[in-house]
Amino acid sequence: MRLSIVNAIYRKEMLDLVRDRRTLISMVAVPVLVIPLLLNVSTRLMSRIQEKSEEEAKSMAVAVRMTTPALREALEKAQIQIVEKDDLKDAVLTKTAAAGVEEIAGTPVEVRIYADNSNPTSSAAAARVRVALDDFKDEKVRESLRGSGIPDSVLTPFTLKRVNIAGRGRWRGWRGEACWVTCCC
Amino acid sequence: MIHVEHLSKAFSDSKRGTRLAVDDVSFNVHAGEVFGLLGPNGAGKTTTLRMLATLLKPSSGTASLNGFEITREPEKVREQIGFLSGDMGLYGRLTPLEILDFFGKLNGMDAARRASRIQGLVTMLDMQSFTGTRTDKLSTGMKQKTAIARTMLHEPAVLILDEPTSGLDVPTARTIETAIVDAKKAGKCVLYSTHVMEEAEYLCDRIGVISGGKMKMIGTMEELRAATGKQRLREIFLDLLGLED
Ligand SMILES: Nc1ncnc2c1ncn2[C@@H]1O[C@H](COP(=O)(O)OP(=O)(O)O)[C@@H](O)[C@H]1O
Ligand SMILES: [Mg+2]
Repeated sequence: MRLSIVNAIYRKEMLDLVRDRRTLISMVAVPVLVIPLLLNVSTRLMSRIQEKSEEEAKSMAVAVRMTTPALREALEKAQIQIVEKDDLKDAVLTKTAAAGVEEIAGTPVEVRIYADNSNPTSSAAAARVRVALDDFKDEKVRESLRGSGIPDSVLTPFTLKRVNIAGRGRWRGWRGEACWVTCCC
Repeated sequence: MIHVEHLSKAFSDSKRGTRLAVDDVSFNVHAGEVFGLLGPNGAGKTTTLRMLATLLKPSSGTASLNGFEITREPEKVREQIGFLSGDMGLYGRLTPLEILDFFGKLNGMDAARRASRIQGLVTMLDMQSFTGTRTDKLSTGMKQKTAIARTMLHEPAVLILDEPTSGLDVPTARTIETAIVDAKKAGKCVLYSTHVMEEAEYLCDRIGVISGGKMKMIGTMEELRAATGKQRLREIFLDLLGLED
């Protein structure tokens, strides 16, 4: 086929398309409007699920099997409820405990955290355990270094705190996107 | 110009079985002649014209247009013809001017020839008032004029028109009839179908009366009168169909 004919057909099809409201709407409005809407809804849903599982993780006990009292105290200091169990994995899988913590003797001592990652509550609980034990480990290291005469300002250059502000700002982002969509149409 | 020999077309469907829509039809149409295919609804007019326009394959028989055989050289045949189908085949979102320009390009016409030819057709068919309006907003008559202009645009040697005036008011039909007469004067070969007696009587050099897929008779008005002993085409038509007026 000659190039001029291809060109004529192309131009005619484009003209036809530009004047076809229904197709244009489905081509433009769907990506511009519906996709951000779906993304927004799914993001909010995810954060809702995460918040809920964090709340649940706080109220559920963590199964433990450990001998060092200091480790247990570290968890209790972080307000983690603990319960003694023989089979930690089973406790997590049957949801009688949110997560499991096991101390394995050796040098150094190994602490294993068991979590069911298919269950958001279990993941959240394991994260809390991890933070508590990390803090405890940091504190231990700091204590020994302090003994060697290293000043506190070197050992703790800054402190870190995460603040979730989703509750207040949730709608601000959404309105921003809606406004952008209006401008495009 | 058009040479049709023993052309037949059978359709088969589950309900009605196999039926001959066109049954052993033969006729010729010469350059500078208007040949009318006259027949009641379902007679096989559209089927015959579609076979000649290479849109349908005949079940048997042959036909050639301007020397090109319809099944062996369909592309060549299409170059010879302007075909107006019953559904008009227009693009609703384009204006008549855009449609005509598009078809002109498809037919390889250069810009100057397109412009002058479109201008001529728009004047001849009295289309000035609506050339810039989207086709889907036009009346049936305006659409039909656009379709006729598209058919005649590239000045084909053969015009095949399927009921070009059906459903149109008298002034619009007259404009189209005038365009057909002009094409004939320009030496074109015009084959067209109709079921309107007055129009066939006024416009056609020869008439072929078709019914039930069969060609009942072919001739000039005088020949038809002589053969049937009737005066008016309506009487001749009913006589050939075996009906009393
Ligand atoms: N595509 C098809 N499939 C089956 N039957 C068809 C088809 N096209 C036409 N016919 C039949 O062929 C016969 C002739 O139709 P047609 O040529 O459209 O008649 P006319 O144009 O003279 O009114 C009718 O009986 C019709 O039902
Ligand atoms: Mg028909």
